Amino acid sequence: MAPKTLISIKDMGFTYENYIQGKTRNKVALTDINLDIYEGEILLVMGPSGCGKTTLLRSLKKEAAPYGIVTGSVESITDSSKISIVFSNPETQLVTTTVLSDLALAMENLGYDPYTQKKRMSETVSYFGIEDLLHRHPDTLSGGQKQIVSLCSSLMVHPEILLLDEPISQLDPISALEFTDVLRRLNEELGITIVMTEHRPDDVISLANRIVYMERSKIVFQGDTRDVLKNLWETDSSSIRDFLPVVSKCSLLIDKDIPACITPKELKLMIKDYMPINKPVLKEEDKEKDTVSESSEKAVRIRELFFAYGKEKYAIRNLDLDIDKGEFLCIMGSNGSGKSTLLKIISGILKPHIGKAKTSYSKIQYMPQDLNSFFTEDTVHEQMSFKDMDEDLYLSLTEKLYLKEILYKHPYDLSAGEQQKAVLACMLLKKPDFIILDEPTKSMDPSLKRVISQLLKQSEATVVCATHDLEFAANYASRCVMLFNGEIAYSMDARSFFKENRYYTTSVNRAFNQINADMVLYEDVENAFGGK
Amino acid sequence: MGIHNRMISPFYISHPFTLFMYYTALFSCIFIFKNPFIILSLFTACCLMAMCYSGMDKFLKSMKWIVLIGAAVLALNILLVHKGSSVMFYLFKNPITKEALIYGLYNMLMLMSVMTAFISFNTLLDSSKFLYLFSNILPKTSFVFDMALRYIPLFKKRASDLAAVQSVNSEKVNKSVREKIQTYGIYLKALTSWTLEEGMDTALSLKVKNYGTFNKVHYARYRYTLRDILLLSVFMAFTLFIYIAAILGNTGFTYYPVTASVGLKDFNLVLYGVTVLVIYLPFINEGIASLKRGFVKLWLQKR
Repeated sequence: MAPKTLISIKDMGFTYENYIQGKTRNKVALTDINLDIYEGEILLVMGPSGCGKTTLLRSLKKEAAPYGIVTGSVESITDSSKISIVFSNPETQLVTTTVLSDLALAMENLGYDPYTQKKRMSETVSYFGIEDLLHRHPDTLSGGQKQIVSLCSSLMVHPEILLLDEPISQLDPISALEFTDVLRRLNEELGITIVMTEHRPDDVISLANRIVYMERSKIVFQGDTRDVLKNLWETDSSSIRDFLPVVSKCSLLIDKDIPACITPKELKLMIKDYMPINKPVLKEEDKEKDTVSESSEKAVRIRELFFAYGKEKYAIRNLDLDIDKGEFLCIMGSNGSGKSTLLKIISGILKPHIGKAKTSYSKIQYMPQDLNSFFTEDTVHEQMSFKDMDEDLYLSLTEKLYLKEILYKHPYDLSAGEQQKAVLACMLLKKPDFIILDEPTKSMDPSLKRVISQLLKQSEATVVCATHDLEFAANYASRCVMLFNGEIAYSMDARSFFKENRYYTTSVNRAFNQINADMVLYEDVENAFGGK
Repeated sequence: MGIHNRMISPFYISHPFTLFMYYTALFSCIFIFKNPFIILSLFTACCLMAMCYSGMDKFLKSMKWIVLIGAAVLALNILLVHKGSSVMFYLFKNPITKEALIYGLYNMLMLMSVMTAFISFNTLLDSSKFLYLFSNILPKTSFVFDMALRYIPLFKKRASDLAAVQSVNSEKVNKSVREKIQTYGIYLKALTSWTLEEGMDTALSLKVKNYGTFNKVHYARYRYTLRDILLLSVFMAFTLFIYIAAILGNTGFTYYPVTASVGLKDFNLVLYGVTVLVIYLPFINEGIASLKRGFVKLWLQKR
C-alpha cells in the first residue's frame, strides 16, 4: 500500500518583498517546488545556507509562514494545530522563568482543560525523562537541554507532523546525538512524520528515509536517502560533494556502484572486501609541524592553574599548558570540561584564582561562542573597517569568504554561518598574532571550513581553538589536547591524537580503526584507494 | 535550618494564595498596630521567618542594610522632632525629648519589620508563585511580567559578556571620560538591537504556539489542601478582625505629648494574644510537623 500523502506542494514559488532605501529589491527564495510529504517518514532537506530550506519548511505551517508573494499551492490534509515546529536557536524559544511554564504554554494557549493539561504534561515529561528539569530556570540549561525542552513543549499538542529547522546546528555533537536519538524514538515508536532541514548531514543522515537537496531556491534532487547521496556524488563537483556525510563519501569513493553507506558500521563491513591501492603517505606538512614544535618560543605558559565560578567546585584544577608561537592548538573535551573557561583565562577575561598564566602576545583577537556579543555596529562593513585598515586584505577577505552579499546587512540579520564568516574577517583584518576561537565551526558548511583554516594559516598567528568538531580538528590542527575534569588529560599532535583514540575520533577512523589506524581523514582514504 | 529544610516544610508548600493571605495579615498588623510592644513581637516574627525560610546567610546579608536604614530613621526622628514633654537634654539649643526617642524606636521597628518580612516573602512567594496568583486576574500582564523577569538577568549577563569580548578585542589605550561614555553608548545600542532582533524570533515562536488565539487556560500548578483552606480562613478572619478593631479605635497608641503606658489591658490583651497566635502560626505548624517526623522516626526505629 502506498503511504498516505500528508502535504502536497505543487509548483510552489516564494518571493520575499524587500524595500531597501525606497527601492523594491525582491528576493526569490523558492521556485518550482514540487514535493509530497508522506505519513510516517523522516524527510531531510539539505543544501547550502541561503538556498531556501527554511522558507520551504516554514511554508508548511500556516502560523510560521514567512511574509511574501506565494505562487502555486500547498495542500495539507493535516490541521495546522497538529503541525509543530522547532527552530534552530535554543535561546529564543523558551520565554518564561521556569521550564514547567514553558512546557505548559502551548497547551494553555490552545485552551486545553486543566485535566488534559496535567495528563499530557505528566506523560510527555515522563517519556522524555526530564522531570528533574521542570523547576529549573531556562537559563541554567545547556543548549541541548533547551532544544529538548522546546521539542517536548511542541509535542504536548500531539502533533502529526513535526517540522525542525536546523535543530542541531547550534548544539555540540554529543547533545546533537541525544537530540537525534529522541527524534528516532518519536518516529519509530509513535510514527510522527518529521521534516527537518540541516546543512551538516553527518549526524542526521542515518535517520532520514528521504532527502531533498536544494540549491539556489530549487529542488535539485529528491528521493530515497541512498539514491540522493549517489546523485550528489555523481555531480563530480567538490562543493556539492562536501555536503555528503564523510562515511558516504568514503564508501562512494571506494565503490560507487554499491549503495552509499550511512553509518561507520556499514563502512567498516564494506571495506573488508576492498584492498587499498596505494599506501597512505605521511603528508609533508606533518613533518614540518614536528620541526616547528621543537624550536619555537612560548606564546602562553600556564602553570598549576586553578579557577572556580562558585564555592562548590573548581572548573579548572591544577592545569599546566604551554602554547608554542605559531601553532594551531585544538582543545577538545566534553561539555562543561572547562574549555571556554580556559580560553577566557588565556584571553585575560578571567583571572586565575591560584597559579600563573603568562602570556606573551602583542595583539589578540577572541571569538566568543555567542557571536552576538562580538558585534557593535550596524553593518558588517562598518564592523570590519577601522582607521589605518589594510585595504588589500579587506578586499581579499571579502572575496575569499564570499562576504560581498552580506557587507551591508545588519550582523544580527545574518545566519549563524554567515556571522561566523563576518567575525573571522573582522578578526583577521586586525592582523593579530594570537587568535582564540570558541566553537568556530558550529554552523559552517564544510567547504567554508577549508577556506577558514587556510586564512588562519596565512595569518601566521598562534591559534587556540576549543571545538567539538572532530573532523575539523583532525584536518587542520597541529596539536590537540584533551581537557578532562578541569585538567589536561593528554596532549598529542593532531594525527596521533585521533589515531590512538578509539571512541573520540573521526568517523573515518572509527570505520578503519581495526584495519588501518592510519586512516583519519577522508583524504587518507582518497590516497589509499586512489579515487577508483 | 534554612535552605535545606525549605522543601519539606509544611508552610513552604502551602498554596500561594494561603501564603499571600498570611503576608496580607502580617503587613496589615505592622501598619495598623501602633503599640511598640506589639511591633517588637511582629519584628521578632519577621526575623524568625527570614532565618527559617531564607537561611541565615541571606538574612544576615540583608540585615546589614536594614539595620543601617533603621538607625538612620531613629536618628532623624530624634534630631528633627522636638514634640513631647519630657526633655532629656539640649543639642545645639534644640530639645531632645524622650517621646521622640520612643516614637523613633517605633518607627524604626515598623520599617525594619516591613523590610525583614520581604526577605522571607521573596523566598516563600517566589516569582512563579506570585505570578500564578495574578495570572487569573491579569493573564496577559502577568505573562509579560514573567518574560521581563526572565529577561533582566539575561540582559545583565549579556552586557558583561559584550563588554568583556570588546575589551579583549579592542586596542588597549587609555580612553578619556568622553570616549568611555561613547563606548558604553555603543554597547547599549548593540544590546538593544540584539534584544529587539531576538524579540522577533520569540514572537514567532509564541505565534506558532498559538499565543493569543484562544482564551488561555492556566496549567493547574497548585491544589488546595484541607490544611491550606483552614489556614487561609484563619488568616482571612484574622485580617478582617484587626481591621474592625482598627476602625473601632482599639489599635492606636499615644506617643505625644506624653507616651502612654505600654501595658496591655482588657480587649487589647485579647487582641495581642490573637495576633501573636496567628502571626506565629507558621512556626506552630512547623513544630507539629517536626514532632510528627520525630515520632515516625522513633516508631520506625522501634520496629
